[in-house]
Formats: sequence, structure tokens, C-alpha cells
Amino acid sequence: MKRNLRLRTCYTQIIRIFRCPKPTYSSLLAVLTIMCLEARAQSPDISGAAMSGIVVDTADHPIAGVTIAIKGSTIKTLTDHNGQFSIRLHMPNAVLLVSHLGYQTVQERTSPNNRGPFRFVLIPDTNLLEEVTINTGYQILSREKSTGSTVQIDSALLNRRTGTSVLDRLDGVTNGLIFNQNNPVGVGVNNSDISIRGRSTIFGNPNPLIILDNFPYEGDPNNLNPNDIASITVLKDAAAAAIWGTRAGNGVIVITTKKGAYRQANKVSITANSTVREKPRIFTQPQLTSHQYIEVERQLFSAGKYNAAINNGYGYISPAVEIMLKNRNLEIDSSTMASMLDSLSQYDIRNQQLEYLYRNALGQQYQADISGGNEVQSHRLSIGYDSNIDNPAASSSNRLTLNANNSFKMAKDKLELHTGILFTQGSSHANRNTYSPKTPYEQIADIKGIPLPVSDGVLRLSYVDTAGAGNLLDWHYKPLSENHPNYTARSTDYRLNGRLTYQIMRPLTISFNYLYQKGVSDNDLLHTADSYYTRNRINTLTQVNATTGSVFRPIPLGGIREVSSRWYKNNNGRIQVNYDGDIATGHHINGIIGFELGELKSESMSNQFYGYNPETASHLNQTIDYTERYKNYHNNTTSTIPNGDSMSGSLDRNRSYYANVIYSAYQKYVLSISARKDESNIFGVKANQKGVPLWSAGASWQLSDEKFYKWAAVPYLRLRATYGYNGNVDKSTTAYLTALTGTGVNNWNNPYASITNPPNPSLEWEKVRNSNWGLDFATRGNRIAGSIEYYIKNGFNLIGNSPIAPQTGVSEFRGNSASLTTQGMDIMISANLISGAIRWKTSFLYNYAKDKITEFKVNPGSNFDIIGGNYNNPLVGYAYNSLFAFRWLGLDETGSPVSMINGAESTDYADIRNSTNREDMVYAGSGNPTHFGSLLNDLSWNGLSLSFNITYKYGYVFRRKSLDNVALYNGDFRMPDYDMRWQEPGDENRTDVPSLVYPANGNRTSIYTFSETLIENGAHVRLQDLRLSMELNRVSKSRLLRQAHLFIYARNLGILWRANKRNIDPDSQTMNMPRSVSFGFYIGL
Amino acid sequence: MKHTTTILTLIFILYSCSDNFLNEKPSTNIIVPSSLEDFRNLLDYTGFQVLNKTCALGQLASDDYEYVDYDSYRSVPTLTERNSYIWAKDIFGGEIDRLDWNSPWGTIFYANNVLKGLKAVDREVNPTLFDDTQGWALFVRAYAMYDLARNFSPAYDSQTADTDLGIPLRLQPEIDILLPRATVEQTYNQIIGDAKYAAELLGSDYQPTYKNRPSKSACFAFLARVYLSMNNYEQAEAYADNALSLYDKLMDYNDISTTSSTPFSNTNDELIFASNQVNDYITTATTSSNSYVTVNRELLSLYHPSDLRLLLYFGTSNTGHIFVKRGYYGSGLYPFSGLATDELFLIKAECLARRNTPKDAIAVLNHLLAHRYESNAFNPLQAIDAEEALATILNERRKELVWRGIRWSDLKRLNKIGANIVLRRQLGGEEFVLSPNDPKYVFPIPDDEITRSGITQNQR
Repeated sequence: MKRNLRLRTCYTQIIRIFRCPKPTYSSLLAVLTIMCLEARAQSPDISGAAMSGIVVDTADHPIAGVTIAIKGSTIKTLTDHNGQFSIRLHMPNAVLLVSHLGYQTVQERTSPNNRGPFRFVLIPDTNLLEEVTINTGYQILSREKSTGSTVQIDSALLNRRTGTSVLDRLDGVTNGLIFNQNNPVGVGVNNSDISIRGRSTIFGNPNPLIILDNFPYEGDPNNLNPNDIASITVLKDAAAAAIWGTRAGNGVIVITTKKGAYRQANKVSITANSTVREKPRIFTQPQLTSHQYIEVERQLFSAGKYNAAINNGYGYISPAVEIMLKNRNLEIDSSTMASMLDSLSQYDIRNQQLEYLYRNALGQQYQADISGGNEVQSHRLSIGYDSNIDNPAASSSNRLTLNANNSFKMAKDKLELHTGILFTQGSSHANRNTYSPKTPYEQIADIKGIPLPVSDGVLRLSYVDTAGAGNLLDWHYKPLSENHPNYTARSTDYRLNGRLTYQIMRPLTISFNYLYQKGVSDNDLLHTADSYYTRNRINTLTQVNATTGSVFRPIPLGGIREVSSRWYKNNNGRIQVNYDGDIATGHHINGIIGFELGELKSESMSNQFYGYNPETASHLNQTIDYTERYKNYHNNTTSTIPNGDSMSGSLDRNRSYYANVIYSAYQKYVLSISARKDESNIFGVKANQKGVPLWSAGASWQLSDEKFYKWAAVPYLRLRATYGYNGNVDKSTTAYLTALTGTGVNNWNNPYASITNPPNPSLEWEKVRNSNWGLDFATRGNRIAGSIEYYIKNGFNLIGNSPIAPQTGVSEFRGNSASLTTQGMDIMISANLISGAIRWKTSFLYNYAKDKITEFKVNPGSNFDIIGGNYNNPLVGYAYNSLFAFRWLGLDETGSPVSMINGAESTDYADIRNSTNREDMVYAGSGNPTHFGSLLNDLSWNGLSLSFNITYKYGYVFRRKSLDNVALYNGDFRMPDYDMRWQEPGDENRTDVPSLVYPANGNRTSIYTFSETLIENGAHVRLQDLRLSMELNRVSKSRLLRQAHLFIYARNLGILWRANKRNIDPDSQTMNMPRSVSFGFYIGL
Repeated sequence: MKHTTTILTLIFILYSCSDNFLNEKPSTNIIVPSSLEDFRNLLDYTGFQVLNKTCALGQLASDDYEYVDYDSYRSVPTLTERNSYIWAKDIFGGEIDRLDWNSPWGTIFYANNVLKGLKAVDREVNPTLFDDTQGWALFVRAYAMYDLARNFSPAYDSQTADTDLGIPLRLQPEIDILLPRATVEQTYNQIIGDAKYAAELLGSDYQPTYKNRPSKSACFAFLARVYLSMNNYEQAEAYADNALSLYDKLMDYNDISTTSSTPFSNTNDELIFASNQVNDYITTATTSSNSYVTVNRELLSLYHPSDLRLLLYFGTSNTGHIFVKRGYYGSGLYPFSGLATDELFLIKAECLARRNTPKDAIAVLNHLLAHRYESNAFNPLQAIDAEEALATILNERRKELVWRGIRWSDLKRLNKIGANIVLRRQLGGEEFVLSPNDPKYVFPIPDDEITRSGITQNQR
């Protein structure tokens, strides 16, 4: 009664203090209050005799931080720096448990006759697997309790690599995860940088879910400082990921930041490193030599290709064509022309690009942190700073990160409060008007380095020399004078999270999690008044009155500034009840049940200011008529002044209920079941379809613990199997008629809206059915350990385009109409090849993943639609990203490609292209590697260690670039095989490169560029990186330094073997990746 | 354990206070159309391939143009273009998603959604705007249905209209209903009924700025066009008169730049209702870079040297072929196919000639031509009788309405009444002939419609 009264008083007081109108908050506070009271009611009763002792290792060195606990109670203590401890017993007969990570636990029974002081010798624990915990974002499990498929990347492995990005560091070391370097890119391509176990959607969201400290991370993952990351867990199958429900269809990456630890003296660590990356290797990209390109231009000039541009008086023609034109106009004679062209052909613009536009990139990364804790509190504070100057001379970026977290234990350790703050501020600068040479012999600077004007590819240089007769601004484009940053992107992210855990009664706890995240990003592009961009825009629309000579500039003088900003706000709350305890001897339950709410709100807007004056921050937009069509100065077409103002917002809301129960018996048998229901504010969906229930189940059996198990060579053997469902949400589809407000106006300047979705009452969420079978093993002494897993993922109800009769007004609509199956294997084997003074540890990864479209209702169209973009026009029975090619029957006697139509040789290129007979094309293979993996080696000796990672990919093909008739004749000179082209009869016997024809025929060109003769095997083995580090304190035996090491790390060292004979790097087909080297140090105090 | 109970109770409180939590919309630019403004925004969706678009097959099959040479013909990207040119039996060659068929159905879908949505709007709040929106939807639906009928059904013939196949008459937006084809009679009744009702609903003003939106004069002009294609001259003349009484302005071509590649704006004075042909086909594009085809040389020879249309409609490219400049649509590469006052004068003149008043007919024609010739070079035309007047008017009609997608339905209706126009093409040493009233005057329906809805295909 008395307690009830106190409770109510406390509750009303809190309500009053916070003046909180919402029952939500008051309920929360009430819960807190109850727990406070509870906590206060049970104060600990510590009394009894003190016992003391020392803990040492086998070499007799004292060990600090060893836990001394009394079995069956919560009383425990730690050893100090000298390995000494003292503990009070509340009863004379107790069992002391002496435990420390990496050592075998020692038990000692005390009695009135055995009261110390004790001396415990701890023996290093090498026979057990390392204590690996798996953080699912909802609970932390020991690996033995997890039936699902997960990969754990610890901070040591993460820190092997350098660089500012966290996710990059997963490349080549994460079982089952691949970076999609071979994905098609471009408009309408739906791809993700990272795939976990292949593809599970077609047009839905392909990205894995990223969790940071228990909640989805909605910011840019590049904002995270890798040095703050303690571990990353990748959840791959249903049992592991089902807890994330509808967002887990593509796998989950759970990132956990470093935290302070209780009962640990303050530790300080400092890291610093620098990375130098060479200039882009532009000379490795094949292109026509200046001489060859002038030869091409000469032929096109004679054929009349440039006449249209020559005749209109302003159109772009290259310097070589200007010379040829002078000759044709009898201004210069043929020998002068020859010598002028000859001197042009001596230039190679790439030399100037390397000299003036690129530099070696330098990345610097610094971080310092302090962490520690006592009995009731722990903390960690870190500050990091990154600064990068990039290869393009105008690009740079920097980032500041602050990370602080604290945990407090109260009420006899029953209540724990954890708070964390993460702050990131980054900015980057670049020149957005990047220069791209129009010819291989272009010159942007003279011999003294003075900027030279070049054409922008639209207007002829000789035209802008004289255009305007004084009425226009200087119309010359000098790339070198413009080579400074005009674009700044800034982003700021804050993330605050709090967790309160209360132990209701052993083993039941309840926890409240709350997250608030806010991010703001601003982009600012300023074309100054003197920039070419601004001068060109103003000049293009300048109106000169022919009779009065008056000049009117619809775009006012001054700069043009484009700003855009986006902010998002993320609120998440979670209540979870946890149970972790034995229900009977040997029978353990680890279960959670919870409820979660989340909201992600974002808004973005952009503005464009004309006539911008940076001095006064003023603009002249009010003088502009955006509806008027103005004649372009140089030709008769008209255009309006685009209005760059826009605004949009979005809101995602989610409500979820979930439960996960893991039952284990005698640590041999584990059963797990999870269920989750997600609801979301999918627009226009009936209430009962806003949610979807998903579930999973799994089991594992530690075979090696059975009595009948006698295989001494493999003392650890475990079998696992899971089955269940993940989902994938696509909020772009809805069940009701919905329309989208257009971003601009129609031809008559009215706003419009378009119908985005016809009614589709049967719409469902995408689902992925996931089965996984695994085997874990370890040989004696843990010498070789590993796992083998096999999985099948069936994506069904996938959002696809479903065909209906066009008389309905929609020929296709998005609905649940497609299916996709992915199956594969993940194998991981790690071996301690040599242990002793010299240690050699190696880990080997092998992954196999192959997907296949099993259902797709839309006819993919012509063979060219499939060959040109199979990912948008999937063919049932083949992978999502498959490469198809036109059949190749060589060149005919005129150097034209020969392909096939309806089984017969043909050179009717349009018919070949439009054919729907699938026999006329060939399936070349998967566009993504179906087999991949790595071999990571770590060698160490006396504080020196060498680590190198060899990665491999095979089972896929890529389409090599070759001579492209259309592109070449449209001015693209960056292509190989010009030398190899058919030139005279008989050449068809030595080459597959067709002759060049004028006018270029698009169909003829694409039959070659998409033919099977250009398909190459993508298989290769790469020396991905190499790291050499030295532990200094081993050398110096310093007592001040806890740890210190130096390292050198080198990346993109080259390809060790490749299947293609043309020296093409399949991961970087245009030009070779630049090599980089980093060096740095780590100091722990 | 009692705390657990308390906590579970609190969870329920938390849960219950968020009933409307999931009802917020996920994006600010997504709407469930419900207001007049929403519906008008839908009808203003002209930028893409839905509203204010018409079929281009009639243009492809017409005698307005010819290929520069056989190689150009062979290099054209779509089979539909190549097959249409030679009046092949199957013109799509398996190509699907043809906008010629799909765009008008898209318009009908939008219109039906608006008409259905309007039922839930209270008219009394803004009766004028309500009626205008309803009239707009009815008009664009009728306009799209007529476009389908003139291309995919035989020309109207009162003798056979009860049995000839028209188009499915979709009057509801639901996409789970598939309809068979109605008769030509039912189709034209629906079109005319809708257009007349729209004329009652729409304000009497000529729409001055927003040419994608219909007006009362657009309804009348459209009805004049429809009745003429049915060879119903009495009604055609009456509606042409109705339209002209509301608005009859002509542009004097002497005031227009002959050097501009875009001589007409999309708000020009003759424009009554704007639509353009679907942009599936490069060969219909009105630009000098459409180098595949050239304007029919025989047609070009019909223009008098002082006829300004020669300079305003056509240009000569660097490679020597004659291309079509941007027409009355103003912007965009694809040809104008909408309603304008010049067509009304031609309808009026033709109807006058057909009811044997040649003088009046020629006077109307001269009024138009006076705006087309160089100011001092125009000699008014004359005709001795109705027959000569009619021939002159039809000749001028062809010259005036070139590249506007009208020629094909003219060929259909004129051959129906015995004009006996035979089309011939020479290509790669072969001659192709299309005889009058050939079933190939009716285009086949694209395969995707036939296979998915099972409606009856046209026999060619």
C-alpha cells in the first residue's frame, strides 16, 4: 500500500516535471519509476570474510583484470595490475570461479580451512574455439547458440585495411559477401554495391540492411569511422536475419561500435595513418593515337561528315578539321596542312592531364580514444579526423567523428543504463565542370603552362573567337583556368541512443531502447561570374536587337548558384523482454519478445539562383521570366531558363512485433524459432495488408559431444539447419490508384500528376524463402577449423512487371509476378599451419552463388533488348545479370560482321537485332562471378607480421570493349582495336574487327560490339593487398606502452593470373586501378 | 512477476496510442487523387506518352513521304516503320507495346479515372470548375476513341456500321475488366455523344493559353472532323460553323519567320486543341536530322512558288533531303495532330462544295489561302463548278494539312465514296500498291492486345 502511494506520487511528479501530454511518454516514465523503486528496495548485503590472492600465467607473470566470482551469486571482483585480488564471502563454503578471456577457467572450493591467500595459475585456452559472439542487433548470442548462418568480422580483421569507408573493409574477407564490380551501371539499373549470397529481388530494393548499434542506420555508411567499429556481423540466412523481418531479404550487416568495459583501467589508444594513391592510370586505357585519330578525321572530312557543322558556322569541329577546312578553302596549301597535322599528332593530352589535372591522392586518418570503467560505470570517448586530397586536383574531403558512450550500473547491478552519442561532420570539395578531352591531341596549356582555350564540344573555337562583336562575354573555355573546386557537399549526422536494461528477476530482464538520429546534408555548387559555365549560359541566351543594337541578357550577369539540402530524422523505440536461463538442469532457454516503432522522415529542397553575387549573397531571380522561350544566340532553336527550385518529402513508418526463442539441451541440441510481424505505412494499402508475418526455425546438433562419437582427429563437429522467410519491402507499389505529382510543368506551364499505380488489391510484400544447411568442425588443437554451408533462397511474390491487355490503359503494371532462385555454398577453412615462434595462419574462403529467374511474365522483347540489358528484360531460366551475345560467324569478304537469323547466316543487321528467335543469340554466361573467395595469410614472428590476401573470382564473363564504328565516328577515341580492323580483302582471315564504314550503321556496329567474339572469361586471381606490421613494445618491453605497432599496407598490387589473354582487369575494364600504399601506427597506453 | 504484468499493460498503452501511426503517406508527392485540382493535374499530364497523343501509323502508311533510298529504308530501327511503308499484311512483326494503340488507351484510362473520381466530388462547391473538368475528361476520351476508330476500324459506312468492328468501349477505369470490340455504329455514337456532352459542359471561351485543354470550340471542331470522316457533310458543316462562330482567327504566314526551324509556337493563333503523334518512330520526326525520309516529291510539286507554306512547313537538310519543320505543336519533334482553324475552313469549304455552292466554297478557301501566300503574289482561285471546286479544295486540304496524320483518314473516306486513289511505292526495285478500300486501310491490332484480351483481330 505504502509503495503504491509512493509510486503514484513519483509518477505524477514526473508528469508534472516533463509536462508531457502524451500517455506514451508518461507510460515510459512510469516504467522507469517502477524500476527505480524496485532497485532501491533491494540493496545488497555484503558482509563476511575477505579472501585474497594473486593470479599469474604459466610464465609466472601476474595477470590483471581476471574475474574472481563466487559461484551462484553476483559477487565478483577483478585482479589489479599486480594480479592481486580480494573478495568478501557471505558464507564460508563457496566456490571461486577464476576466469579470463583466453584462459581456462579455474574453480576453487573455499572452506573454513581453505581461506587463502590463493595463488591461481591460468593456463592459456587453446583447445576451444575463440569465444565469438554474434550480435543480431536484438540480442548477443554465443556462436554455439546460433543455428543460423553468420559471419563475424572482428576489429583486427577490419583494421587490416586502411581507408575511410567501413563497408569497403568487408571486401575479400567476408564469407558469402561480394562487391559487385561487374554490375551493369546506368539509367534504370537496379543494383547494389554489395550482395550477400547473390540476388534475391528483381526490381525491389537490392541493398542489404545495415544496422548500427541495434538500429537500422539511415545515414550514409561512409560517415562511420572504421576505427570506432568493434565488430561487424553479417546475417545471411533466415534464422539469423528473420529477426529483421521485411527488411532482411538481402541479408543484414550488423555493425557494433566499440564500448568501454566495466572494471577496466583507462586505456588510451592513438592511431594515425597516411595513404598515398597514385594518379589514375589513364595510359592503361586503350585509345587511338593522335596520328590515328587525325587519319579518321581526315576520312570523315572527305566524306562530308563535318559539313553540317562547318556550314552552320558555329558547330564544333576539331583543330585538325579546322586545318583541313583551311586547306579546302585554299587558305593553306597541302604541304602546310600536312606539317600542321603532323605537329598536332605529336601531342598526347594525357600527358597534360597527368601534369595539370591529376595528382597523387593522399589520405590521412587520425584517431584517439580513451575507454575504461569501474564496477558501476564504463565509458569510451573517441575523436577521429580524416583528411583526403583526391586524384583530381580540385577534389578533397575531410571528416570529423566523435563517439562517446557510457554505461552505468545501478541498484546492485540490476539496472543498467547505456547512452551513446555519435557525431559526424564531413565535407567534400570538387570541380563539377570536369574536363573531358575532345581529341587525343587537344592541348589545354602551352609549353609555359599558360592555359589555352579549347572547344566545349558544342561551339567551334574559331566561332567563339569572334562571336558577339563585343556584345557578349568572353566565350572561351580554358579548362586549366577553371580547375578549382566549385562544389561543396557538407553533411552532419547525429545519433543518440539510450538503453535501459532492468533485471526483473533472474533470468528475466526487460530493456528499453531508443534511438534518435538526425542528418543534414547540403550541396552547394557555385558557378562564379567568370566561370565558363556561367559565361556560356548567359551568352547562349543573349538577345541582340539587330536594328537598335541593344543587348538583353535574360540570364542576368553574376554567378549561378545551385544549392540543395536534405535532412532526415529517425526515431526508433523498442521494448524487449529477455529471458536467459536454465529451465531445468541442462535445459537452457534464451528468448526475447519485443515491440518496436520507427519513423524516418526526410525532406529535401533545392534552389537555383541566377545573377548571384557572393559579396552580398544576393540574386536576381526576380528579373527572370521562366516561361518565355528565348532564341539561342548561335542558332535558331529556342529554350527556356530552367527553374531549379524543387521540394519533396518522405515519411517511412514501421511497427513490428517479434519474438525469438532458442532452446538448448546439454549444449548439444539447439532449437531456435523466430517470428516477426512488420507493418508499415505503405500507401494506399488496406490496413490488413500493411503487415506481413515472417518466421524461421533452426536446429543444430553438436555431434562431437555424443558418447558414440569417437573421431579423435576432429573433436568438434556440429550440424546446423535452418528454414524460414525474410521479406523485402517496396514502397513504390500500392494497392489503390495513386498518382505522383510531377516535378515540373507541362508544355503549357501547368503542374501535372501522373498515375503511378493502377489499383492492385492483391498486392503483397516480396518474400524470400531461405534454407540453410551447415557443418562446423575443428580438428585437434583447433589446427584446422571451419564451416561448410549450403543454401537455397527462393524469392517469390517478387515485384515484377506484369503484363495486361493495353486496352486497360496500362500495358504493364508492377505486381507480385516474378520468382528467382539462388543457391550456393559458403565454405570457410582456417588453419594454423605453423605455430610456435613463427606462426602462419591462413584462412580460405570459397563461395558459390548462382541465381536463376524462375518466373517472369513479361515477354523480354527482341534479342537486342535481352543482349543489351538482360537485367531489365530477364529471361526465365537464366541469371538476373546474364550476358547474351549475337552469334558470331566471322567477317565477310567486305569486312562486315556476319551473324545469324533463323539459323542461317545473315548480314541483315536490323533483322538480326530485332529477331525474337532466341536461337539467333548465345548465352555467354553469368555477368556476376558465380565462384569467388580469398586466401588470407598471416605470418608472424617475434612481433613482426606479414599479412596478404589473395582473392579470386571465376564462373563469369564480361564483354570487352572493341572498335565501335558509331562511337568513333561520333568523336569517341577511347577504344582499342583500331589497328586490328579489317582494311583489305583477306583481312577477314586474320581479324574479327569489322571494317569502318561511313556513315556508321548502328545495327551493324551493335551486332559486333554485342557479339560472342567479344565475350571474355572473367576468371582471375588477384593479390588484393599486403600488410606488414611490427609490434614495437615487444621489442622495447616498455611498461608505459600497452601496445604499439607500425604498419605498411599496400593495395591493388596486381593480378596474379587471369583467364583473358588481353591483359584486361575484369574488375576495372576501362583502366587499371591505381595502386596505393599506406603507413601508420597504433599506440595503446 | 507482478511487475511483468504492469509492464505488459504499459506495452498495450503504448500500442493503443498509435492507431493512426501507419496512415501517414510515405511521400509528399504521392497523392490519391480526390480533388478537382488533382483530377485536372492528371488531365494536364501531356509530357509523356499518355494524354494529347495520337496514333502515328496513319502517318507512316500515308503518301506524305518517301524514303531517301533503299539503304535508309533498311536502316530504320523498327519493323513497324518498314512494314507500314509497304502496307505489309503484318505491320508490327512481333513488336509490342506500340504507343499507337497504347497511348489512346492511356488517355481513356486517365479520363475514366477522373470521371469516376468526380462522382465523389461535390459539384456545388465549384460548379464551373467541376463541369469544366468533367467536360475535359469526356472530350479527351472521345478524342482518343476516335483516334483508335479511325486507325483500327474501317471507315464509317452507314450500310455496314452495325456489323463492322469498332473498338472496346471502356467507360470504367478498372483494369480487371476486359471488353470485346463494339460495332462501328456504337463506337461513333459514343464518341459523338461524349463530345456533344462535353461541349455543353465546357465554357464558351476559346481557350487562349492552355492548348492541351479542350474548349467548347474544340468540341465543335472535333465533331466537324468526325462527321466529315463519316461523310456526313451536313453535320460537319454545322459544327464547323459552330466552331468558327466562336473562334476563326487565321495567322498571316507573311508574319512568320521563314528561316526558323520552329516557325510556330505551341500557343499559336490557329491552334484550338493540341495533340501530337506518338514518338515511337524516328521517320515521323519533324527535324532535319530525320535523314531517312524526304517529303513526297509529287506533293511538293503541288505548291506554288509564292506559297509560304513551302518555306514554313519544309526545310532542306545538308544532305539534300526535304524535312518537315516543327508544326503547330511548337516544341518536341513529333508532328502536330490536333485541331486548328485552318482545318475548319477546309471542312467548311468542302461541305459547301459538296452541297453545290462552289462560289461560297471557293470564297472560304480563298480566305484561308490569302493568309498563306506572299502578300502581293496571291491570285484568288476560281472554279467553274462544284466538282472543280471540290477538287481544288481537296488539293489544298492535302497541302495545308500535310504531316498532321489526317491524310490517312481522308484516303479512307474519299475512297469510300469513289475517289479511287491508288497508292504506289517503289522500293529496292519492287513496286508496292495499295488499292482503294483495301482491307489494309485498317491497321492490325498489336499482338499483345490480341493475346492478352482475345479481342477480334482485323483481317487484312
